[in-house]
Amino acid sequence: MNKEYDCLIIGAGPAGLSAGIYAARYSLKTIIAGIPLQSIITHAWKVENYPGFKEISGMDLINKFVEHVKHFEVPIIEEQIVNVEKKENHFLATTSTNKKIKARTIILATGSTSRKLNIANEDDFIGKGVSYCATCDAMFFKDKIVAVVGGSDSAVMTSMLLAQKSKKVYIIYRRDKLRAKPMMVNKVMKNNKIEVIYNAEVKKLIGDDFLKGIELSNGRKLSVEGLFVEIGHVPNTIIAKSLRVKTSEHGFIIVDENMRTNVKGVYAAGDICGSKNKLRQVITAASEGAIAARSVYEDKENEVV
Amino acid sequence: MVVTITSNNYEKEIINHKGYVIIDYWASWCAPCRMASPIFEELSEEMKEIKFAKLNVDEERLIAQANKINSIPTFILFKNGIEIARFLGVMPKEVMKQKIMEAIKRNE
Ligand SMILES: Cc1cc2nc3c(=O)[nH]c(=O)nc-3n(C[C@H](O)[C@H](O)[C@H](O)COP(=O)(O)OP(=O)(O)OC[C@H]3O[C@@H](n4cnc5c(N)ncnc54)[C@H](O)[C@@H]3O)c2cc1C
Repeated sequence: MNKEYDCLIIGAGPAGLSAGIYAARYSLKTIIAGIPLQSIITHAWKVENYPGFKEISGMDLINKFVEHVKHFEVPIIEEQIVNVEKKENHFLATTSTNKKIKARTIILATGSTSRKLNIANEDDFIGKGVSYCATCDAMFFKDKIVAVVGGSDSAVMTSMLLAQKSKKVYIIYRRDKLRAKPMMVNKVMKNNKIEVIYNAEVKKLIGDDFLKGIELSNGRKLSVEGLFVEIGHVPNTIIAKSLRVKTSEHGFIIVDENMRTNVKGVYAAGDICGSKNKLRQVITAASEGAIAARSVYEDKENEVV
Repeated sequence: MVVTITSNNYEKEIINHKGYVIIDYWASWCAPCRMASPIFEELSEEMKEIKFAKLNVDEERLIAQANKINSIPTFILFKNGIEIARFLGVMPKEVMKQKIMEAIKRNE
């Protein structure tokens, strides 16, 4: 524990791992804490827009990032950070197995988590009908009736994926018009396996052990064995908040153009930060990780941190 | 050691097995499964009184369907061929060990 790092990167997704690579190149003593296989990119069956790879699964892509980080001998500690304390001129982080990490600066790259419906019994049905990752679970609903909650691009994409194998797909959306791109909405309208139910929300989950049906806010009951929740993501800002890092009204960390937060020595990169409508992709996360690492380097050189 | 289950040995290794057996339902494309499998492997060395088995849901869809697998990784614990508990998702080794032991205690 006596060792003091120049930089602790919290999060091992594209943003954190890329920050690790750049920090190593700047000869900063760096450590990454986080579990690469928990990056949300592992939910992507196919990534077709990351330059250099015409087609690669999200899991393979993240493993490539890890290989690259290991090549520069940056340690990755595969644990959650449960607490960070700000001391006079360093930070002290605690991992889930109570290891302590001392670092002069912190890059927050903790990404986001799927938003839940927030209704009774939701947790009891996870893996027994309720899913937040169609890529992961769609194959188990072949020839079954399923529903998707949401009206965004990703909700519509999920419904198309499910329609390939499932018997019928309901889309349940709280507004009167899907907000996905018109081209995708057209595809939904033409697909006779998909039925859209507007102005409705899921109120109740029905079933003993496994999901058997749902009840909607308009009173309608549907027999479904699968319910795919696609209502966006919530940024993981617990640690940021404990460090008094400022977040926007939408919950994202506020950063300047060089990824500095309002707290000296704390930087952020990737899905967790920026404006609500920022492009949130692997390439932007990786790029912000690189910028954050450079800011750490500059602040160290200029003796700001 | 972890036994690989297919439709050829499912009956012999699981249904007709006297005692406890736990199956890890997995697939190569499933990131959390990759995290869970070394933990499962280690547990198989520590809990010799139980048989550890794994089943690839892509190759053995019918068995996965029959066992109502809706998400992976899923772990099902059987006693004398009958399901007595099911655990979902990755968990730390000690947590999983405890869950298995509790399930066995409940069914003694
Ligand atoms: C279904 C789906 C498909 C997608 N497809 C594409 C695509 O085709 N192309 C593309 O470019 N982008 C795609 N994306 C978007 C892309 O996944 C994200 O933009 C990108 O992963 C963001 O990277 P990140 O590093 O900011 O966060 P993440 O990848 O989410 O990584 C966050 C990391 O932080 C860790 N973490 C969280 N809390 C803690 C803590 N307290 N302590 C330690 N570690 C912690 C997590 O375990 C994880 O390792 C897709 C997203 C989804 C959901």
